Amino acid sequence: MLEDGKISNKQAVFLIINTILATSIIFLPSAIYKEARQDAWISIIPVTAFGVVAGLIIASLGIRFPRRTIIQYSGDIVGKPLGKVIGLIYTLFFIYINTFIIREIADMFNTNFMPETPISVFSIGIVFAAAYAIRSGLEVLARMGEIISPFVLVMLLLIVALIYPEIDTKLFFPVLEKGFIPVLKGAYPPALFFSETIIMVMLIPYLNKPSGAKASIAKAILIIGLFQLMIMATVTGVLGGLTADMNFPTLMLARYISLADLIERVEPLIMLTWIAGGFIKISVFYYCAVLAAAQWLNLREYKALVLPIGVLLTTLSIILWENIAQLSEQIFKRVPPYFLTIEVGIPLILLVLAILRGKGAAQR
Amino acid sequence: MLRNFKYKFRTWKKNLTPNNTAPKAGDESDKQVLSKNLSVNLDLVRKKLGNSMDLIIREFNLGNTRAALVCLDGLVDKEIADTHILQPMLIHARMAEPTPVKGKNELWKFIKDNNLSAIDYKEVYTLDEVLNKIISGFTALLIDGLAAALVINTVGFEARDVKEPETEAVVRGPREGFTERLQVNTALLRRKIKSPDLRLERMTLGRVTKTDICIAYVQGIANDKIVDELKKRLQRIEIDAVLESGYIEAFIEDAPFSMFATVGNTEKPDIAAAKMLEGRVAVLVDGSPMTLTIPYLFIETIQVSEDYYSRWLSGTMMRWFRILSITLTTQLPALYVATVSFNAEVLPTILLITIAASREGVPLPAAVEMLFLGIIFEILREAGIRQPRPVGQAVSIIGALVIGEAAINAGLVSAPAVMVTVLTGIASFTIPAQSITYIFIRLLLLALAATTGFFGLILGIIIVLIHMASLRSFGVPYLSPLAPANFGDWKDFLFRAPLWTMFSRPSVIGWQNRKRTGAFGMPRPPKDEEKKPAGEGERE
Amino acid sequence: MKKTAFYALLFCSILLLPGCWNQVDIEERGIVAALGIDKAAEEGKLAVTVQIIKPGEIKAGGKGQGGGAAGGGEAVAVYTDTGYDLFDALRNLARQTGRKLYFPEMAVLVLGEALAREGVGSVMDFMVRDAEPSVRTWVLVARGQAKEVLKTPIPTEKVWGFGLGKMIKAIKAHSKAPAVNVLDFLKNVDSTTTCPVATGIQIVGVEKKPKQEAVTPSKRPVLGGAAVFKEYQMTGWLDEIQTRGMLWVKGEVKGGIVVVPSPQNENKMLALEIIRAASEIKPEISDGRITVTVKITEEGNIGEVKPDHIEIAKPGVIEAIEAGKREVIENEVWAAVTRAQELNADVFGFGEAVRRKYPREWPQYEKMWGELFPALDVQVKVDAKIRRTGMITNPEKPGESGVK
Repeated sequence: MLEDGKISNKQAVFLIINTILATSIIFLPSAIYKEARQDAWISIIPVTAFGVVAGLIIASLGIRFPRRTIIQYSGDIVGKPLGKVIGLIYTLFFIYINTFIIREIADMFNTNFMPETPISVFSIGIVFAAAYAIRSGLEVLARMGEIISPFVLVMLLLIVALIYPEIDTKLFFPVLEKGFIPVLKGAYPPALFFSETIIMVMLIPYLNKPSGAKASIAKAILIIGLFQLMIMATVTGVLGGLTADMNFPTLMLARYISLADLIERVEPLIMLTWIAGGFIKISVFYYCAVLAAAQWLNLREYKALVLPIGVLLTTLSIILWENIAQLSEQIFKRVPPYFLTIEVGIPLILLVLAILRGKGAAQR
Repeated sequence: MLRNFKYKFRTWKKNLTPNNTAPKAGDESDKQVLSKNLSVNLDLVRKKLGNSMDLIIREFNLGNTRAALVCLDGLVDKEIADTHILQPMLIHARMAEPTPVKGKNELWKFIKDNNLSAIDYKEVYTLDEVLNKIISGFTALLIDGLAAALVINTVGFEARDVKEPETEAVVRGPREGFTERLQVNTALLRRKIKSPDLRLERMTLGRVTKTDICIAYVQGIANDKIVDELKKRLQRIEIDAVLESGYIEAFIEDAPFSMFATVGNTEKPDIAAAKMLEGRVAVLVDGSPMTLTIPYLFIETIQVSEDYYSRWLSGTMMRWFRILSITLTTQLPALYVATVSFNAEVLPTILLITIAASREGVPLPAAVEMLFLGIIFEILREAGIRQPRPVGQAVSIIGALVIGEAAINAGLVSAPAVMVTVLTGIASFTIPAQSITYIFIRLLLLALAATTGFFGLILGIIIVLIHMASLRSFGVPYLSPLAPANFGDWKDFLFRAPLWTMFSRPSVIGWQNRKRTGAFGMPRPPKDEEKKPAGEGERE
Repeated sequence: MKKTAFYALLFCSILLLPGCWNQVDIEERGIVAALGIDKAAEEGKLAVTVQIIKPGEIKAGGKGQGGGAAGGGEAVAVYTDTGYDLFDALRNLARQTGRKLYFPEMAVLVLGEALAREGVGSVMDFMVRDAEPSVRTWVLVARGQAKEVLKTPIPTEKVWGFGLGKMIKAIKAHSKAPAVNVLDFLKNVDSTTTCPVATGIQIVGVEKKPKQEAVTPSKRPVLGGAAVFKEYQMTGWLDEIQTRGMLWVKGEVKGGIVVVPSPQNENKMLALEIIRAASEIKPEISDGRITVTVKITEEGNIGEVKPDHIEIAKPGVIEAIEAGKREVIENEVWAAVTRAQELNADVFGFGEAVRRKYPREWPQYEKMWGELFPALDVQVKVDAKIRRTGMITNPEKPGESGVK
């Protein structure tokens, strides 16, 4: 095995929560609000349901091959050559999606706090930390998830608690002004994020109890849905229609906090936890990419790939997009069909084929 | 286990204390066997010890047999040697005349069984063993015509009394501390844990110093794997001298390049006992009161014996302050620099203006100023520790006056920077266990914060955390029970739960025997019928 | 060994990254306390005024050399410069200040009336687009020049800009001006019908000789009234009574005094303290006609009574006072509604209320709200209560024993 470590299912839950929440909480509110307006919070409910279903598909597929990753078992299901193609698709996908994430996190810090610093500093810094974590192995990554996730969640609760007095309930009405269609449209951009449980196709083999993967994924998605709902509602109640035009609405909440003239402008501190959360997200996808590449190339050690893939990630994250507008245009308009196919479509097809051809260990 | 141990070490460690009595023929060819001739033996001893000035050889007659007592001056309690060894034999020498003992072997037996009134003795057959024992403070009895010697424990050199250790002062709790004598220390442990399961295993390390060390653990509670691993690591050690437990620590720790210690130490028997009862293993080293405990986890830096001796609420609260102290001492300077140089808006307006005002005209940028003050503080601290105590106080007064007052008044440094430095330093005093480690982290974070502000700070914290998460001490994850999270063990982490709720030992260490207390022992007021104390009547 | 090398590499690589991009120590920055923006004399240009804090002076003043305005050593410095837009002008200012301006501590944004009437879109955009200024910055419109407001000392405050901020926080004592921050302003801009307002401020009095000024400054900024905007363009003023009328409708009256003629003597006045107030806007559509009913509930105490003419303890008197108060509040609200309809500016959010209640019908009204609002049928219902009479009941009068 490339990875000797084992992570507990609880750690997996934390990793999933952090992986999905870290960037979605920052970028999604405005994207959802653009479609669903004041009903944005309702959009979270269908997308959570979608996330659970997607997660269950991914888990069911993984559980059939409890000791192998998708790179290894896809060949069993669809035959060697096609399996290789699927493996390549996932390897590239994990790299490509990570460039988005790195750019998002770096851009956020750059825009809000240090506009004069070149963006490469942030990309390099955070990829460096992620590379260090990955070299230390999956167990260490899982432990970091356990340390950081609670901070991210507590910080979100804290923002909501501190901004609560500013919520104007009038801004939630009228409910369903234009019917259900905008609500469902609003559920489209987050679907991409909510099916990021795709990381589990790489991680299920390293769970203590692979059979518990379904429950872990469902638990994680529900917690994420709850927090997303809470933040979406708070953003709507405080910022109202301005949400749609904000690049970082959740950060605006943090900026708007004012407690007795003493606690004001706390956003750099809140930012810290988000950077930490973003670090976990980047590390997880980075890890998946490295592991997938190593398995695809049939290497015995994945550590040799950490550096080259890290350099690739950093470079791509800087050169692929000119500015943040281009980035969000791509992530919310262009890539979702492709990403959703990879995140949900391929696993679904593989699962159906595996059941039809009787592959995998689900028979027992 | 022990056989394996013997086998492995025979090749390089000839002087290892043997557990059996007689050497087998041809076994240790290079070990000089004692001669039957007394004077030859004595000459050998003299020659081996280089006719040392503290060598005492007292020859006397046992009936018509020549005998001699050999010991080193200053290491033996002469009182014991005189009254319990020499005196009975001299008296016997006179009384032996009427009933002469037949043959040397019978004399030997007679002395052992009827004559010697010392409790701890041993028969040895080689010169090396005799010498080893003499060096440790034993007295050797050599009898002409016998190729054997009796070594009698008369150890009684001058040693420090059991006193309160200065490094681990407590308000509540036992005052006694370990001493430099291994025997005293093991006795202190025995007195804490009066259980036959307490295991004290001896080992000798150090080619030249031949230092006795003792592995102490509670059988049935300590994790066998950890004990075995420790023994394995100890047996690997090849060193000429073990002057302090630190020499051993350097050889057995898990991460020698890490800034974090993975082996703990304590000077107090109650702490050592408590750790052993949680399943840890202690290594006592003769000649040093510092006892090693393994495995050593990060949470032990914030666990203090008084947490358990005082009431649980106060223990919990003090623990929070210690956590706060760790945060402050590692992050405060970096936070200050990140705030003042990059994102000052997090400060309340008035504070920001005050800082800006006091920084006006200060020649150094905030980051350099912070580094400069931090270095000066550490120099002052080191000076205070190394100097004799009265001078140490003078150092701190001069330091406080010169640096604190003069530098601010002269406008060389700003008052907030001095305050931050002092607060950082004082916070480090609340967690003495790893205070040097925190200096490294502080500097790392400061450097990162000086280049990229809050981003660098969080990156630094993440890197330190990754490093900590990747550490293990004897197989136990260093950050447990934080990561991997083990909420069952959190009862002794952020909270010091009441003792009657700590049913079980920490699962990562003492998993073999987890039950600690009864099912539920919460103290409760007596039930209704028992409520009235005897003799108290009904009150309207 | 590998690990050490790794650490060393890590450490060096980060240290080697050229630092100092955003690193400016706080004392090197010009901390802006207030920003004022006017129309420049030159066509198409802005005149930007900043009030910069001099931290050293604040500290020196704190040591007790008299915090008065006289004798130099002011804690703030005021600079003005022009530019083609706000950012341009701000950067031009560095020619005078020599410091990079630092906005997060800025308490108020003062807009000159002339500029406000021309449009403040780019200014508000800067306030929310740039990461430095707080979205909690108060928005004021000066009757006259913003520069004058920033230049006028406030003797009780070392940093005048913060003094302006405190004035706004003190609005809840009188409710004669709205307290509006950048985010509030923009939220109203975002609505298709609601019109944003901003606090009004003006300079009263003339400059006296410095000696007198230290004790009683006659030239001073005074808050009052509200500037009404349509989107980013100011259309007119609400005076203090109209402003409070608007605040009643919006439910934003936090406190203040209602002066009511005594029920027993029309010429004498009673001062009634407002303790709490709430409002409810209930739109109704019947036969295509919109009626908006504003229901205001208010509770208060008796604050001040002129002795000699009233017996509060008498039954019926409190009810009579309440009736008087109701009338005064109604008049204030009507004043506001009338003025707003005159300006055709829905400062109350009536349109949003209709939208919330009738989301299906709303789209057809939304487009013609500009025609509907001036003729909107508004009903005002006020419920005013007196809860407590203060520490005494009847006012003390000479020659009368207080106890019966």
